[in-house]
Amino acid sequence: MKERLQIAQRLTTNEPRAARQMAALEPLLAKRIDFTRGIMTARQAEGLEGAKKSLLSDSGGESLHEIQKAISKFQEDQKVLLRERDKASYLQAETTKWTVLTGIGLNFLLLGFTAWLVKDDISARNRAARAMEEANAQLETKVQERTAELAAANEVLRAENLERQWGSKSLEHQLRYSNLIINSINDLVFVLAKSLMITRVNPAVSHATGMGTQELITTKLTSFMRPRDGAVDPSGPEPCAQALKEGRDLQNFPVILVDKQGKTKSYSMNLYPLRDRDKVVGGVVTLHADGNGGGK
Amino acid sequence: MAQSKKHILIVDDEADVRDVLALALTAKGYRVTGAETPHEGVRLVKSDPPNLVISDLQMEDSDGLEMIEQIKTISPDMPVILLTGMIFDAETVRNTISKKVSCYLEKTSSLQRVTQEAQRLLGDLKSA
Repeated sequence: MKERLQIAQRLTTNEPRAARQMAALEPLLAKRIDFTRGIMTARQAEGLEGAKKSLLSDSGGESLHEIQKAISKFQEDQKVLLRERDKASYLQAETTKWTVLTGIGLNFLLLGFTAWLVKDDISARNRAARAMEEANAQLETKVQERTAELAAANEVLRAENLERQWGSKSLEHQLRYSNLIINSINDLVFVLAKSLMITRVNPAVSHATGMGTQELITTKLTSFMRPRDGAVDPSGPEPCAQALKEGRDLQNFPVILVDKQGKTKSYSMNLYPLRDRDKVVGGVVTLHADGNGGGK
Repeated sequence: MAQSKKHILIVDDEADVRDVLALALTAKGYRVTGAETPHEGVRLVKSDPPNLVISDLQMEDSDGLEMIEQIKTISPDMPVILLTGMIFDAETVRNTISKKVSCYLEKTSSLQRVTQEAQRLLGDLKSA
């Protein structure tokens, strides 16, 4: 009994109220044990009569009632305590349940939010990819258009370049051909400024005068050619200058040419005014060898 | 592939003229060969008949009109453009030259005009 009481006391160490109840129960139990021992002692000493006398003189009946009352009170308190604990346990379980449910709910919310974020990010990336594709397509179109423009411009430039080359060759050909015609003439050909300054001659002139082309250019025609005696009035104006001034031809005009060695030769001269937009800017003189003289 | 292109023969004793004209006609999609002399031109007409001949008039070993007469005996319907630096008066062109050639052009004509005439004679000029 004592041992069991100690176990009960250890179990209630953390509960002051129960510990106090246990402490109050201990003397009552000790008293009851002593009473029981007294009965057993009377039984051994005086037999059943002694035991019966002791039981009848039960001074411990009151203590037994107190014990029962204390135990009932203890039991009642323990039941209350158990109910409180059960209630607390239930509340804790409810709290745990709601905590778990709230956590699960939050997890779902977080999961949903994360899914929304991922979806939004994927949508944004898709939009960006589409925008980039469109930009690339536009860029490619622009590049193609620009390339076509450049190719067309290049083609135009190439054609213009060829046209210029063609024009240059054409002019070169025409000039060479014109020179060929003039140079192949056996008559002496002079191109004159209006002042009778020589600006161009054909090879026949150099051959007849003995002077080089460079020597003849910028020399006045009248410095080595003069009208044949009697052809004009010596006191009158120089006939070539006068004809150019008046813008008229001279045909078969008799002249004398003096070469570099001072030798003279008779020629028949023709003079044609050079007109540029109806304005006489010079003249062309041709001399044809003519020993007979004559003319105007 | 090259054989499917129309063939133009240029006969001119000036290499520069042949080269520039060949570049312009090649750019229009034609196959172009050149001959320096009328004799070489006739030989090429026989060996590799062109669809069109463009010839200068005055050359060293013979003149273009003589060559054109020889070409006409080989291929009477072959179109010929006479391209020359000599400038004839309109009456001469009308009465003589135009009877011997399909087209007479002065060398002072623009390159575009020459290529357009070639395209016209070959039926390649798109109407405006």
